[in-house]
Amino acid sequence: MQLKQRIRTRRLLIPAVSVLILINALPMTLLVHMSVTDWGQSLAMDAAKPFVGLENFAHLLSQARFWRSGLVTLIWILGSLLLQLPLGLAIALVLARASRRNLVMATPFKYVIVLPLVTAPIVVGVMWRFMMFNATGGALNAFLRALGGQGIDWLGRDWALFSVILTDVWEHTPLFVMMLFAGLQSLPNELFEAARCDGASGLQTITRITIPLLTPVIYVVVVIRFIDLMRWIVTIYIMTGGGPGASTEIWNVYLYRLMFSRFEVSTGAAMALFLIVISLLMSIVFVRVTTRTNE
Amino acid sequence: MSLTVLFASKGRESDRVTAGFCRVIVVALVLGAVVTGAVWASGGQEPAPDGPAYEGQTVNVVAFALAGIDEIREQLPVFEEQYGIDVEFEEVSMGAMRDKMQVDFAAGTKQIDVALSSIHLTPTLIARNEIAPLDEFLSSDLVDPELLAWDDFTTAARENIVFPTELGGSDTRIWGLPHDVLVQGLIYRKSIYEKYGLSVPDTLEELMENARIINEGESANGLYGISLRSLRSPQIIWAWGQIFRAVGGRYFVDYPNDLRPTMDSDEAVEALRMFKEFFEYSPPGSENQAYTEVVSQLSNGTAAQTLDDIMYSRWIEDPEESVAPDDWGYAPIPLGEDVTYDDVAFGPSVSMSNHWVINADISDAEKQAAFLFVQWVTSKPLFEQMTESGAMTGILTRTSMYEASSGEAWAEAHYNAQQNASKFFRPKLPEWPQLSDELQERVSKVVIGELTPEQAAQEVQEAFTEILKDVGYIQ
Repeated sequence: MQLKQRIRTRRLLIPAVSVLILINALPMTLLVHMSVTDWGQSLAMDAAKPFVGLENFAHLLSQARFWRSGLVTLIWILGSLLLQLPLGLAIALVLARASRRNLVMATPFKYVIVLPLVTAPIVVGVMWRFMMFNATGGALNAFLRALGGQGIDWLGRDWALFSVILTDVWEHTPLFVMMLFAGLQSLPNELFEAARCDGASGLQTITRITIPLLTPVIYVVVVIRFIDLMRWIVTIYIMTGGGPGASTEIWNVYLYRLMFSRFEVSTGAAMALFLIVISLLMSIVFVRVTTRTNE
Repeated sequence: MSLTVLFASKGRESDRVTAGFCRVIVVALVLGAVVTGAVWASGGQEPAPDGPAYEGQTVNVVAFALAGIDEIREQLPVFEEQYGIDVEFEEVSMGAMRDKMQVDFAAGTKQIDVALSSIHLTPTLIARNEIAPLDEFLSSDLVDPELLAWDDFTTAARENIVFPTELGGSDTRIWGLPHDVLVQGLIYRKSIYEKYGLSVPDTLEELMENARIINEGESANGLYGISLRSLRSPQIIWAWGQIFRAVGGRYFVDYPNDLRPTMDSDEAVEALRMFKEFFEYSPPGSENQAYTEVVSQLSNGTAAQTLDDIMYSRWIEDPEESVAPDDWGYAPIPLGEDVTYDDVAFGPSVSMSNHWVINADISDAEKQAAFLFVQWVTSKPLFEQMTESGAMTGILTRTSMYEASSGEAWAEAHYNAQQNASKFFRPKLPEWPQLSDELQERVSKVVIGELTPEQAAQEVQEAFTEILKDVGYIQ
């Protein structure tokens, strides 16, 4: 009986799995094929491509530039997440408090804060490059000078990576705010009232009750953002093109250059596959940790 | 027994839902196949009976934002009316254009019939047999001499569309018709030069000294000595390449016959050193800037001069955009010390061309229609119209455009620069994108002080050697 039930249940998955195979498996198969064959500089599928095994992966891993851009990617991801998480949490806490007290500004603030998230990344890149970070006419340096300070070369060698991270923080912290705010709304009030009765301070309540209870939501939003950061390119490419030098060349910029500037199609395919596997592995780790935490 | 019947026979609610879903999928697939088959079988539109083959065709055109493109779009009905050819005109960004062309041409989707290519992408398209040579069309009945007016194209415009069919080969073809010719020159503020008693420089050293003097006197007022492009992209090669050529630098021992690189030469090191030094007299934050920032700095009075595209005149002479619209002088690119024009490979200035190319993979009738469009879009009457409306200010593709703009300082400078301009702004190698990528990184690293000029030159030499060995150009 159980076997029949299992077969019937699995049969229900056939349509969805078929569609998934059509949508995902075919391009993935092509990508794998590209990564183990030599396509030269062409994307044309009109001739047999010689099989080269793992040569493209070996070539990729032998490039110093691959490892250097990997380091930049690591700083980019960690920097973005480490700034966005506490900032998002702080804003969500303030917002939740304001909502509980029915403050007039809470509702409009909720709408305003999602604006960066709904702005097209290309617009964000152009806006920050020309209007905010421009060393001579940008808003940030104008502000610093108005305070009596000196301007900063935001997109220069020393600050470029920080600047692109800052742009991402501006653009994506609202995602943390929205999800954490929703999580906060779902927490039981009784716990907080009990903590207050027991004389817990505000900080103790946040660190001992709020954050532990929010952990599943935090994991989810971190996974979403991690995957997003792994595949991100638009704002960086528009703001710095990966430069100056190689200071903001993350893996995706390198991949873009491999595929579309250097036409190294097979090496690019190997790298794309590598990035997919890394994202997948990290997602599995996050999901397992989240599941364990929930349990 | 079909899959749907198999599912439907069980009678359970969940099975019925699944069966229904399956039916939808099957019907959708069948419909899709039928529609696809019908489109495939039709092979595009049929020519009108008794009419020319191109009549009734649709030409799919992709272009990026350039001077004149808006006007061309407005004039499309004139072409459609005249030839009975429909035009689907798509405008994308320059970067997206390059990607779109590569993917569509290479994958053989035939979604692009005509595209606006550039001098650095065309060799790659030729090497991949993705675009069609125009020689046959240019000697066919399709040519309308009034429209084509071949001799009216400037020499540089004509040279920029001729490429060998194979690297180093003597068999050359015409691979497109020119939309524009861009040339580089020195663009400077006349009043600032007068204020400090400076003369127009003949050498790069004099230019550097002028930049230093202006910087010393004016930077406190927010006006800096010079502005140059430096974005880590082909733009940094555009900017640095002027200096490289002007000091007598060459990419190879004897292009295209001997492709051993010479990127660690004294000239290459000197060009890197000078390029970096220019940034000491540039506005703050110039280490990674594109042409948009350079134009902005010239227009808003932050920079007194540049070595760049004379087309900038269309913005910096615009009273609505510029703080000093009548203050601009133009001069040829200064040479290095003790360097003469004979020493400079192909001329210190460059001519860079964007031109319309035709997909090699489309049918003959579609190619005819595409050629007629290309002939029309580069035609003398259309260019005259665009020159008159100001849409092509700063650009000289045809001699008649120069005559119509004579007396304008930019036009004189543009015309003169074209006479000495190199058509080898970038070597016409299919592998140039790879070489350029290596060069971009090292030049950018010199600008920000991460590499010395000597280190950068050595690294570029090694990278060039490896790439050129890989493709078998050198042993």
